[in-house]
Amino acid sequence: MLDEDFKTHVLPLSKKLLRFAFQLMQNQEEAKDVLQDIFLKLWQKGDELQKIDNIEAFAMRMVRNRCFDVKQSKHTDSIESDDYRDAQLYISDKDGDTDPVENIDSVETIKRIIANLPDLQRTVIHLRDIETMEYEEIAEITGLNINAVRVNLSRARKKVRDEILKIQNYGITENKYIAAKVL
Amino acid sequence: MESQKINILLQKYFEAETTLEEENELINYFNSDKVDEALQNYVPLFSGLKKFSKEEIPDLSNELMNHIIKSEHKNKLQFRWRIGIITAVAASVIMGLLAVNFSSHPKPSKVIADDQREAYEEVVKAFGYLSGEYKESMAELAPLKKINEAAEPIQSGINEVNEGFSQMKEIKKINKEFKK
Repeated sequence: MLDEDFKTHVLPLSKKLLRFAFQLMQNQEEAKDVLQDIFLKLWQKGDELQKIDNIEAFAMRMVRNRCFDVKQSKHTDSIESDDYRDAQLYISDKDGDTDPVENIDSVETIKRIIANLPDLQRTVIHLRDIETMEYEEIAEITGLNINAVRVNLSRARKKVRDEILKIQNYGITENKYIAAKVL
Repeated sequence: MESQKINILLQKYFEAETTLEEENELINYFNSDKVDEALQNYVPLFSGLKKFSKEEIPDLSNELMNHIIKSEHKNKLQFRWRIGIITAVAASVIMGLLAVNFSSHPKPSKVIADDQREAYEEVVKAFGYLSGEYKESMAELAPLKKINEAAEPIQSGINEVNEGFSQMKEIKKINKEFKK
């Protein structure tokens, strides 16, 4: 692949890839490091890139694998159970300084909820609902079959929905409690 | 009517059975002003997802290209450095082998000179031995000389007899010619 082809076909993917890397790493600097590694590897592939049908899916897969490798080497929270994640999320909501009702429509809430999902569910919901990728592409990136993609996506969406409802209900009950105290 | 359709789509959405178009339809609906009161709970979800996907992301293109160029340059330098090290190690190994080889074997010229001297000495010894043996042999042959001297008168007598026989043969020839 020529320099110009690389600049026109591969480099523009950097934004999507950065967002995906950040979603998986939850750290801006680490996400950048991952992206630098991935783009260097893509560059070194040279002519091999021309043989790849879907460079975007290929690069996404490289990012995912690299992020998991880095996280595994750091022994991060990838081994946490779903229950632990849910508990953490609930605690962080309760202890938050901001008003949940006021903050509920914020993109930060969605980001935080997605960030606390298990790795696979987080990957799948990000690729589908943020990057609007087809199930086939997600299957290619994650190495899952399409049914498994659907199952994980369904679970992820339901968890996000439940967490939002939980925050909403907490806000309502909290408001009712404050109103009762005032009265 | 529309809320009924949205409810069905929501059901499909949470079962991951919607198409991208249907999902886009849901996002547009929940980001509009006409959301049904009963479905308000889903507004934060779809508005959050929409904002998230439209969020501005920093462009790292130049930074990434600079990183690639720097890494390639570094790799080339490392490659050259490795080649230099390998060449130096190979050269020193060859030099070492040559030195070991040179020191473990004597010089060829010295070898020849030593061998020649030894050979010369051996030849001299051999000739000395041969001459000694020859002298001894010759000394042992001295009695044979006396036998030869004693046999000389017999030999001269035999010669005279032989001459007498040859004269008789000539006389026989002359007699034959006379008879004819």
